[in-house]
Amino acid sequence: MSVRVVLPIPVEFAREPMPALLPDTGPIAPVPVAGARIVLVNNRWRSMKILSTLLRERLLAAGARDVEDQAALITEPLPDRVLDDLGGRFDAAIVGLGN
Amino acid sequence: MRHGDVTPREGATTAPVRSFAGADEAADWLRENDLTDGLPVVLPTVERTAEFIAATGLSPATVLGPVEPGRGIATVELVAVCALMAGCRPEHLGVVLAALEAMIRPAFNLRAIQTTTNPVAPLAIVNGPLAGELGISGGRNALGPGRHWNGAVGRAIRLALLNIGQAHGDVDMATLGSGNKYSFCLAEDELSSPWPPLHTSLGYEPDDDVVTVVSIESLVNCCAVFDRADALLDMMLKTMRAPGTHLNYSSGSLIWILSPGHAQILADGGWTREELREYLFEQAAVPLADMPFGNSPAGDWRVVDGRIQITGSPGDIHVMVAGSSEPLHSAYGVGVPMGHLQSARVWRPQR
Repeated sequence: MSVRVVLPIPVEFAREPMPALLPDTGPIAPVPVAGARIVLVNNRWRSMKILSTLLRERLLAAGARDVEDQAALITEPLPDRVLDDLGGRFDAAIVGLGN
Repeated sequence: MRHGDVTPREGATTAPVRSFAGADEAADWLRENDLTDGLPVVLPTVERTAEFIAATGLSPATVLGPVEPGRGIATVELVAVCALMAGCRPEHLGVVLAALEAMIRPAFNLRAIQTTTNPVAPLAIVNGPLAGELGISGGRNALGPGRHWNGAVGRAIRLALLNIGQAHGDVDMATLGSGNKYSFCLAEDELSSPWPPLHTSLGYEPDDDVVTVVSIESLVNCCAVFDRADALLDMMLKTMRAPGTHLNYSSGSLIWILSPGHAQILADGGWTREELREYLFEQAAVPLADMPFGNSPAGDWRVVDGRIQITGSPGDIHVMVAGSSEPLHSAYGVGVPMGHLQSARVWRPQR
């Protein structure tokens, strides 16, 4: 006997789950690595430092002009003034908070 | 994962409907499409779902908000479907909704909780007169199997996190995971506690029905066969300091689930909840010399007088009472640095 079942997910997920862009973010414009100034925003955990070290090597090998680290607490958002400063000094930010 | 071929349910607000040739096919499809926790579920047929929601007296269109990380919008209807699948009765829905309401607040940081490699799972603690009426237990084996409703309510919360938050498969990056991710819910045994209930320490009145959620990395048993407060406290501090049980994050919410017997020993020794929190915070700090190799979060450690603070403040250490009465075992809920404990009132039809 046929049965009709209510699915435990929003209607939009039934069509296309996990939208590629979150509703509160805009599209991310591509940034050429060659000549770019890039900041790696990370917490200070060892696991993330390992990743940022590897990433820095690869970005510099690909022609990035400058790659800097910006440490951030995992428990608190970065202050707006820090974000504004990063936005003014770098062409791109790679955010690796979390594990 | 695409579910395709779905249609809006007649009269529904948010949940899609799919037709199957039979119940077995539907059950298999839900499981194969990551819409369950892997265990059999009560099939949420259109008819059952309508009856369930009608019995709650709540409006299905009411919106709670986005559930991280997928940011699906939780509604009463969708949460009810998860509660039905988990085996809840309609009267339990208000508890599940309160847990979700608390968890989706930014301060709880559900995105991190749902996606981390850490085995963390949110524990839901029910306080107030309604807990007993709903069969949610704070007694013996409250976090184990039984005929109490803790299992079904905790499972409903998990199904909502999985389905509405889309935390299935590779989205949940837990290295090993935890059995706590199937169901993790209990009540406080307020009648056996020598102190005012947990929720009164969070600003509620004793008669308020409240659900508190706190992220637990692991629950560490503290076996302490003593009848003296000083001996019991010594064992509690050893449990909190034990290297390997956690990373000494210096932040996040921690919780002690004391057995009524242990709590009574402490109260007989003159300890109030507040004094206990202050003492544990002060004394559980770990000497820096004990961690010569640091640990992953060492960069975030707060070191005072050469000792690593176990969390941010005494207020981040919570104390509740549950379990059977014998003064043998209590449990230390090791927290995580992402987010803080949150509470919300149980939902009722008039809301």
